[in-house]
Amino acid sequence: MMNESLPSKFQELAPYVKEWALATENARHKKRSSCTPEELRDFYDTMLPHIEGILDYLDTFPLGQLPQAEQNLLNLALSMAHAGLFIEVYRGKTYVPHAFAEDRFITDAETIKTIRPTLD
Amino acid sequence: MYYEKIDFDDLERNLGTGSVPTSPYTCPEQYDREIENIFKKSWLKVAITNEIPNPGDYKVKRLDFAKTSVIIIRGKDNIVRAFHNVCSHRGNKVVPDEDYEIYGKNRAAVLSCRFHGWVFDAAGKLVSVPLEGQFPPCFEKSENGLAPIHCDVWAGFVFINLDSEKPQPLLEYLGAYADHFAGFPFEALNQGFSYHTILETNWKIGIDAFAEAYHVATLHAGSLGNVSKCGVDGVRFYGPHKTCSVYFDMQPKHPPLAEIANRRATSNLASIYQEKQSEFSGNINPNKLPNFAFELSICFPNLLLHVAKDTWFTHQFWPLSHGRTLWEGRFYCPPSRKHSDVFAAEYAHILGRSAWLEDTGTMENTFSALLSGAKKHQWLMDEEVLIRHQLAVIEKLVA
Repeated sequence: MMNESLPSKFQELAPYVKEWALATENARHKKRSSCTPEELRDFYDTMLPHIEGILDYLDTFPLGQLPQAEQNLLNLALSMAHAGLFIEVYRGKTYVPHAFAEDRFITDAETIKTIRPTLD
Repeated sequence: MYYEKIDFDDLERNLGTGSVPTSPYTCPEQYDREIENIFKKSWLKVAITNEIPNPGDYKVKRLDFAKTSVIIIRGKDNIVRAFHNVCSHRGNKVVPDEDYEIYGKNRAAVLSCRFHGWVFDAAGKLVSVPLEGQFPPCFEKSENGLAPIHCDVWAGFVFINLDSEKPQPLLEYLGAYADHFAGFPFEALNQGFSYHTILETNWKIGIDAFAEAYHVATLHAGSLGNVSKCGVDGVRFYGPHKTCSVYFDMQPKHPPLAEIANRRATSNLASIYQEKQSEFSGNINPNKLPNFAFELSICFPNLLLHVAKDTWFTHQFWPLSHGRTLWEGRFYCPPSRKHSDVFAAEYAHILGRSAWLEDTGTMENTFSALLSGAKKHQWLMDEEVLIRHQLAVIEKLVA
């Protein structure tokens, strides 16, 4: 079972960890595309005032060397990148309208290590 | 006809402006000629050197159009070579390729067939045969290496050529197209994302859909809604290859999260924070457009290579059959240095992915609609001239 803790100054976000602190890109796609528009909006609205503070805080740690609570916080921020795009660019839709079937798009980024973010 | 025999100056002068036939997309016989005359005779990008950085690293790529599977392996001498993935014993695949692309590594830089244990080195030489003494005296290991494929590297791109005869050298084939991108740091921009899918479409429809910027205002009204004006300039033809500069004028403000992500991004095409770099190495952005977004190029026949400041991305379309195509989309940027870079890259990445979902969304519809035969011709506007050139080169080669 994943440790669901957050750094103390971001405790306000604790209710979102279980659903939104997701470790992989595919998990983030899956959550965004399967949640309701209301759930996506609620997550976005809650995260928006915190996101700059979260990024500045995470940058005080060397890249890839995050304790579990901080890793959970980064994973929340990464889900916010997804939520932000769909709330702002796609006006709150949870899918890309008039587009290719998303479930047919296969992500290679998690299997091709040479083009994976350098987090080790 | 071969490339060497085409008068490309004449081809460019006679591109014309009229409508062009749709039959090349829908005609199965045309497809057969494209495979024989183009795909089995052209240099094709099959890997980048960053995918196989160390001696003994290999990639296996299935090429259905040629009914083969190709091993691309880096030797202990650091040379990258390519071979048909067919064992010299009884023809089994030396490396099983359960997907269109797989990666592997072997510290000793050898490949061992799982069927009977024949071992080949990275130069394709047969180095070990179990129970070799039970083969007849006329069997010679030295004559039974892997079947080689012409392979060469340019700027970190690994190309192969399946021609049974000795082809024109890669650098000669790329010609001034290679000079256009000379000095761009492809290999240093090595972090990114990659997707693939199989499309029920003709390979040329996929290429065409990415070969113009006319569609941005409509198709990408969602993903690229902050682009207020978009167009192309600086068109250059280099033999069978071609390139142009795409420019974006941006809306003055981003929405709140986009603002944060774009301000912190190290590279982002559709951002007011994109540092408008007009000076590049080589001949990128030849007209030095101040609102330059990215170079849009086609390395003939099937690679779209796009280059921007601190970013490059590729689309590649691999024919599987006349109406079936493997698409690979890959996007590269600088390695993240801090966690906020990871966040900003994720935002740019999801934006790019969404735009690609919009792009690929047209490709099957175009093909199935053209199959109706209701439209014998299509119309191309000035900024779709790369498509016109691509079709003209293909027409010459299949003649």
